[in-house]
Amino acid sequence: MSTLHSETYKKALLSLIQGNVICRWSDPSGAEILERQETRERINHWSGELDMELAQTTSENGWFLVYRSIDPHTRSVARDLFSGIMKELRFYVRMLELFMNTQHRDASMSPGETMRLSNLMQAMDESPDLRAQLADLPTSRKTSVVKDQVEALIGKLKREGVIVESNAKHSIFTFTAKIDLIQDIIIFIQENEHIPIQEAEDDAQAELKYER
Amino acid sequence: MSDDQASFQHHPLTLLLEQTYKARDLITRAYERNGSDLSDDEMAKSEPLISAHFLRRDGNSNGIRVNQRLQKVFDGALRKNRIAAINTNLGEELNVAELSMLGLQEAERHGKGDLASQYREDVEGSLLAIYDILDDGSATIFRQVSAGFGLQENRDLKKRENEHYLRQLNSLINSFDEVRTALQDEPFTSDPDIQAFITNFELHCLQVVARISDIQNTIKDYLYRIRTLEKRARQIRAVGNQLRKDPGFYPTNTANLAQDWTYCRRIVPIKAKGYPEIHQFSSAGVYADLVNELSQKLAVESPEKDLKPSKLLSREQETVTKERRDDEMVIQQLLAECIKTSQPVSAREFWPRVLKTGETIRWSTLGFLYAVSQYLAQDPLPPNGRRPTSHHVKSAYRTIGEHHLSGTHDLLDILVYPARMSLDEALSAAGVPKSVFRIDQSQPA
Repeated sequence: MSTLHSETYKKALLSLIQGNVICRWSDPSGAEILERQETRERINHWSGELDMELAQTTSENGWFLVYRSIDPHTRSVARDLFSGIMKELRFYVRMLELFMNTQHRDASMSPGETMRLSNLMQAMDESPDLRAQLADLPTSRKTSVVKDQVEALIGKLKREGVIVESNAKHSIFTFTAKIDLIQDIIIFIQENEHIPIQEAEDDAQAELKYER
Repeated sequence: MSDDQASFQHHPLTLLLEQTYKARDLITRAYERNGSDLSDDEMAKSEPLISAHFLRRDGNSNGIRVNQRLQKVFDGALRKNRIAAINTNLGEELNVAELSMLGLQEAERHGKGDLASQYREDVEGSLLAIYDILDDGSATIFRQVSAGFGLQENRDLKKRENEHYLRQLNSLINSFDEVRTALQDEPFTSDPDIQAFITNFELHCLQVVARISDIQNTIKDYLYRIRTLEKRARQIRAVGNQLRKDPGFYPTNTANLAQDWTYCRRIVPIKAKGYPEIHQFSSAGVYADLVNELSQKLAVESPEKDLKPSKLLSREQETVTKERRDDEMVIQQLLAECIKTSQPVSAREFWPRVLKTGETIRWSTLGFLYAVSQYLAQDPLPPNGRRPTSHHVKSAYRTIGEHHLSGTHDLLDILVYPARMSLDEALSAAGVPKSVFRIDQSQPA
């Protein structure tokens, strides 16, 4: 049977039209059929009649639908979406800083990157700074213990589709392609507002930069 | 399953390996020295491995570490912190080849065929050694870069390791370019056999160089990704710092450009509308036609329905048809006589003359009196009446004390009289002497 008429295709299509981001971690079967040119052409043909098309995340790991042309309706949608993102901007920035400080200080998060709850808890146990950062998040109640604060944070990220539980037994979570989008908006703000960034201390290997 | 396999299944080593597998997380933590402050349950799980000298207690706290000899075995297997070093200097072998070539020229000049042949083999051997250095070095680094197993988990160390490999490969390629240039010149061009060998040598070497180029691209790609992630991290931290410095920060420029960013052109869930958009001027005519069409289409007479007569006699209440009991009928006859004659009626005198039906046949006079007493206490609506019984009639109880100190009275009679009469008028009309009987208007206990 053709994949274009399969349940997976219908599920993926429904998920896209609901505004979700499909990647191999959030929806493995959906991402698999989107790897095929035939499926993408079909979706683009179908959604083109609604002035939509498929787009990819920065790391090319996630697929989602966007409006093709910029008209008053698209501008209105963009403004609404941006306002929605701005309400959560402080949470996202603090959350990313917390995870970067826990996992690796010098690099942003990548889709597919895993995070163990036990490692996160251990990092919190060892560092008062990280505990303070966690307590500052809007998901944390001031009076609750660290474990509850971590679970509240994980719960919110799971609900928003930023992470999925890849191993329930050992509480291992994987970042989905949605993390790209969250980081992209923050970087978009940094670039457009010309917020100065601190250059890397060790830039001796700058000549290694690979021009694509 | 063979007998040997069956015996190995219960071999102590098999059991120990199974135990090791079950505690693999614990062993990893012990290997990474992260096994401090274990819970009592985890400590209990590690006991068999401590007994087997796989693990050792670490300090006074609930911590464990891997046996040092086992640690070395694991380090070796994981190639932990072992960075491959390759020989990038092809110049030494080139020098040896040059000396051999000079010897070859000298031997040919003196007509020493055997010696010349020996020198020719030496030159070829040196060139083959150069090929081997190229091939071995590229294969070693290819293994380090492409195999996930054994590589550094720490991203910073991994990056430095890859940078080191890239430098080594660059040196190797530079060195090989020098070799190629040298091979195009004297003394290598003097001997046709060596020239033919060099052509063949270069052909094979170029395949290795292509592989090295692939490895270099893989490493550059990895380093580019890492550098991109590092730059993104710095950009995110910059926004974080800005938000801390200026809590009221709002990115006005970005808001104006929101539609230029792909994600802001992302579709949102489409909400289905159950009503037409009639406020659009262009649509007004279309909808007016539609309404006319629908009104004509839907203007049909509905079929008549036979409605059942309503059961309601009044607006508030439905009539309940209730069969009157025999005792109620007898009591209501008593009350009816009182109302009809507008005179007091003695229940005791009424009872003998009334027509008794059903269960009332077996009643005594006193039984009838108590039934009348209960009926009047309930104060029900009379048949077809809208006001309670007490609105039409009143009653007086004639009782006598059995003993002055007993506190109880025997019921002798109930006098039912019209409500508009006073008690005195009723007693007078009934001819009851007040001085002889005790009169009590309240209900007997």
